[in-house]
Amino acid sequence: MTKNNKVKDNNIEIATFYVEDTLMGIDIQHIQEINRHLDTTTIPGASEFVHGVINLRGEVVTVLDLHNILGLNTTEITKQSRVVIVKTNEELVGLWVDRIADVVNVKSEEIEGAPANISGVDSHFFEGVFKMESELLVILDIDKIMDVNSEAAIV
Amino acid sequence: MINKNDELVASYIEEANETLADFENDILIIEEAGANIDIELVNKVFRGIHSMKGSAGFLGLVSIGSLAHEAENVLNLIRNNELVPTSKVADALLRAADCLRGMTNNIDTSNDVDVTEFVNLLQVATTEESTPEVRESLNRDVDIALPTGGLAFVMIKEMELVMWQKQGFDIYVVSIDFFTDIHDKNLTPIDFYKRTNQHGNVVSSYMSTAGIGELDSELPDSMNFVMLFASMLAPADLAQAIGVPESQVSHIATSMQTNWEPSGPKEPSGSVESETQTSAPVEACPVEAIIPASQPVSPKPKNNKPDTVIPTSSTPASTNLRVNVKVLDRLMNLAGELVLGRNQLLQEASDNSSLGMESVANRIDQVTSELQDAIMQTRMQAIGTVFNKFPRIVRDLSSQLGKECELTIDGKDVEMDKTIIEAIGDPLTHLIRNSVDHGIEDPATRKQRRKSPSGTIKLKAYHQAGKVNISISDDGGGIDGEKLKEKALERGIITSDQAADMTHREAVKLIFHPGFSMAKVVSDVSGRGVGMDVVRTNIEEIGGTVEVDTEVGVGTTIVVKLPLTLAIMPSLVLRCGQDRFAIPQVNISELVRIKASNVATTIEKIKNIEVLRLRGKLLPLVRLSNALGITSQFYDRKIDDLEDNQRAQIADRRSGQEPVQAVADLRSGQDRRENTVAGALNIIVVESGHFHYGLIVDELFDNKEIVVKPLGKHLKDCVCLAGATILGDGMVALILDVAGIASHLNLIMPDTEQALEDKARADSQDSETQSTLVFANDPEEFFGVPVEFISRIERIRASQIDSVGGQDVLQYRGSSLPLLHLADHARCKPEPEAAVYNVIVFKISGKEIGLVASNLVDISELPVHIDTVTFRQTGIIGSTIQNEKAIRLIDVFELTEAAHPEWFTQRETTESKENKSNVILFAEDSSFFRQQVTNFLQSEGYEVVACEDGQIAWDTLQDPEHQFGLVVTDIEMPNMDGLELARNIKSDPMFAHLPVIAVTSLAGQDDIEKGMKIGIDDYQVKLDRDMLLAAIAKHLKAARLKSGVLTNSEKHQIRN
Amino acid sequence: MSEHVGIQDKNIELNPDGKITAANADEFRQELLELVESGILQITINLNNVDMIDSKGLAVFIVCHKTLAAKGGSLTVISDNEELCNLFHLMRFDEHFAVVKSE
Repeated sequence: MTKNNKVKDNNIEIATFYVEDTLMGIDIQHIQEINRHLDTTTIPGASEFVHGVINLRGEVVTVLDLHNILGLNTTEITKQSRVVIVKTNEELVGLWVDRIADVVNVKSEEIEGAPANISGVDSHFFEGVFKMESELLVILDIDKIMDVNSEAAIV
Repeated sequence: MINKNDELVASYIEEANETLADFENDILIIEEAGANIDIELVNKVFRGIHSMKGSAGFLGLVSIGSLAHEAENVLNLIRNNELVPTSKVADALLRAADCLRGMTNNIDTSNDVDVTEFVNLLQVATTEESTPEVRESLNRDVDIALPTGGLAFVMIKEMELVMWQKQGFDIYVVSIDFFTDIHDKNLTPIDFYKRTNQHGNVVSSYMSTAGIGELDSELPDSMNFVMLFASMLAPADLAQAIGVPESQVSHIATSMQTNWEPSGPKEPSGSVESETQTSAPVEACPVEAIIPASQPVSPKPKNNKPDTVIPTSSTPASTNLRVNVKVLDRLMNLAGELVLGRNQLLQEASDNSSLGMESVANRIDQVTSELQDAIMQTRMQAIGTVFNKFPRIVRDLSSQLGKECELTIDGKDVEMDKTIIEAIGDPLTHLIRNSVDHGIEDPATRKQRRKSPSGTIKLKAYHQAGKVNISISDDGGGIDGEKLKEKALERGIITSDQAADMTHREAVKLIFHPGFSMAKVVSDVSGRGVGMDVVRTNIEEIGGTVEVDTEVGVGTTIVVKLPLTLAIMPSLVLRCGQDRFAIPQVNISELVRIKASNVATTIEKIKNIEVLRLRGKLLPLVRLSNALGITSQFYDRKIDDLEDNQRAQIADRRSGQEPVQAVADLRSGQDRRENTVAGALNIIVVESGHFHYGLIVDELFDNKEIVVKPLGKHLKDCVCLAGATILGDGMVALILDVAGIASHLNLIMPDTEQALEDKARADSQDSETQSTLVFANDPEEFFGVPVEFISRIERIRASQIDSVGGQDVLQYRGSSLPLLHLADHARCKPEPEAAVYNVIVFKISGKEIGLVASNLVDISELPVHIDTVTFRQTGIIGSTIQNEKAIRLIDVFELTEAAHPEWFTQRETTESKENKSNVILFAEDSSFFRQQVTNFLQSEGYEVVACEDGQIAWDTLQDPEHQFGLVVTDIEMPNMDGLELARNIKSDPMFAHLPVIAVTSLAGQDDIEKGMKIGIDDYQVKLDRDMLLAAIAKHLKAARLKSGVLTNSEKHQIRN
Repeated sequence: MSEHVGIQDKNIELNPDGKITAANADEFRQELLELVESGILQITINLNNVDMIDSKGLAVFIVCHKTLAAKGGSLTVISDNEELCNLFHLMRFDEHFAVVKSE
């Protein structure tokens, strides 16, 4: 009955995607679903990191612009753009990403601490990195991203 | 350590909190009733605590269990009339409830809580208040014997049995063989448990181990289980329900039943036997309780109420079901989705118009609507859940403050959306606390005031006009407006001028001012800096309003008006830029559409704020596109698409004469082009609290019932938005927060608001002020012009001014407008050289003329008590003081006459003084208007007798020295108003022939109709000189025609 | 039929699965008897993998408790099944041996 029973080993499944040209990922446990880029309603007066809101089966879900949060250049919405719907304690939040990649199995001990700066992005929002064969996978700290409101206030 | 599953604990917590919420209230009622107990109520409380104890025991919540147990004991005593619920007992119970609540809400640590103190309190209260016999009976044990010999149960607390009986349960001894009764019927013990659990409660039980060996012997083929069972079922039903032969069910007809009142069902003795005889051979006879030899005298019931016999043949069917709110929310969302699907389906069906399809669609349409309604219903909750905590608050607070308060509650059943119920708790608590703390006086003061020492607070919820009103009234000291003013002055919230002007009502409203706490002494209870402003904000946030009505020494009533539901709001959908938005109908007072050609005449600019003159009042305007920082777009009929609207400043677009037009209905499609063409303005006049302004939007769509969805945490800072909704096409539209928009634009709102308030005050206090445009050509010199004289204001470049023959003119739309410079005619400083000037345009004798002004300062309400000496000169009537500045009032007629005497000589000839009976009686209480109107009437050649009110006018009329040809009267006047004067005139045969023209500063349709009925011949606006003169001429002529006396020129006209 | 989770001193935790019914109750009894005879006095039976217990199965607990109690040992039953726990409570089994939830 305890929660840990189900965890057989320390494998973590990471859903990966590209933001601009950087491969990033989120623990799949945090993800509810991934959608095509839906019609977004922009929010006048909202912070720059808010891309807009979408209608997710009757719920109004805020979509954050990962580009902006991570300090990357905002790109165009393309056919490959996706919205990753992340479950948080309070609500569902969408993350706008440029392209979806594979689900990667990672052992927790293989995740390394993030260097201070990757591809010019502040590591504040990173949980760690995982070295894949051809490239580096940046694992995002979903709590910090969700807290971007207060983060911005502190900085 | 709590190791049961979370769901169970969560449901326990929910249930316990519910029990405790009612508990307080009920205890207070029980306390109030004293010895005269309401057995139903006590039973209810008892059951609540009992089941709490049970659950706690089950979940291993030891501390909660033991405290609940103790509380249960006390309640039981009360129930049995063995303990009078004195305030000491009630206190102990309430404190126990507090402790229970605390533990329940911190369930993980609840077992670490030491409840000894509360247990002791309960015990002390009990022992002090109850008799020794009672104490003894509490602990008495009884044995229950089987008639076949041998004891079925020993050492059963008598109290426990009685307790069940009091609740309407019967006590049975049931024996079950796990093999013959369960195993052989292909049932499992779990099945048995389920059945048993549904039909009653196990008081005690045991498994008879006789015949059961140990591990080394064969497993038994018979296991006899005996339980002492409390059930509401009749014996036969119980036997069937549990699945045993009736013979194995024995009803205990205890002798105790005859001693305690009231009791459960009274089985006729022997009923069990008779029943068993018919159904099965008698194996077991009814058991009976063996009462200890030393049976004490049972206390007599203390009340003489008739016994309440609770029907017990079946358990009442439960009509309520506990549902998780999240499930309901989800249902709501799904219903919303269904509505969308339905809408698309309807669209498709009408497009394809297959008959079968259409009827299916209609059916789904209907079902969907009903489903949505029903789901909405699930969110409704009785306001009682909030009200129930107030008796406790009032009780505790008043005793803490040494006051006596009685709280009456009405309308607990009124239902509202759960969200509102949740949101209203805190504001109401604050209001109730205020009533006790500041409203109700202490008993001594009350006595002095000849009031009963105990104050009354009435809390009432009721439906009114589609809203729920909650009123909180107390018969306390009331709110002293004067004291509020003093305090507000002290704190610099208002100026002394403002204070002097304030009415009682306005002063009372000061309590809503931020940071204004009314407490004379900062008490423990309030005066913590947050106050009524927070209450008001909270209430307004959920779409409500709050009003105060108070009288010093008599009491205060606060009325909170709330919408029934937040989840669905009728709203207006509109477009601004490319996006659609919604505004709740509650915030909208009207829609105004201004045609492009009228924009110039109806929209003015004061200090960079656009204002709309709407029925004589100034309404600040806000462009939604500016407020939201988006680009406004209009509908271009040529290219049938949206175009960016570059012309942001309407003040630059001028022309036309047509009046403001109210938009009644914008549903039809063809209206769209009409109301979105470039230049036309759609203004939504919105209202929220003290904000009142016009919102300029690009396009108006339909009114829709929208489902309100919250915005996520990342959007909490968007003050202009109140939420979001999903439109028929699945897109999200944002809901605008009109108060938020107003405060977002804070920088520009207050000034105009002040102007509006001034105006409002002026309206409420009649015409003692005149709304006046104030301008300055020099920082030291201020001038005012009554706004009625102004036809519009132009902003021009200096280069547009030409000089033609010594006369400045403005080249303007193909014609030229003569300009006036004040300094040319009056003693004042000339306007300084500038690139841009304002030109105030007047229309005099059918001609337009412009007065050049440097800076427009404000439009304000100036007192009409004017000083006609200090600054009196040509073109200046006099001066008045505002904010320590002298403002010189311009007489535009005189000024124009000074500049263009030729405009006036013409009139002189047509309106010659041919007839001596051209004497006008003029009644007007305002000296300013009296003088202005008298002046221009005299300058037209009329003889005028001016009177200060209707009474004087009436007296003057009857004075035979005067012969009048016509009466001009103000409406609002002291002593005798214009209507009465007119009535007197028209009903007196001597004067009935006299034409009466009423003049007002504002001609409202209502007034006009009222006046016309009385016989007033015409209505005119006071300062519209041309119209008034024309009306006077017309009516004099008509009167003369009637009497046959015509002027020469008139005769001439008729002949032609 | 049951998986021995571990034996420490004189304790043992049994983790039976499936059903404890007339079909196998006697086998289970024999198993318990052997354990007791081997000197084990503290027996914990984890019922979380058991999906059905009939009257015969129930009897096993009674006899097991009786046996252990007589020898100064004790029986502990682990179950997270609410209904089963409630049944044990209704029968007051929990007054004789420990009925607990798993951690």
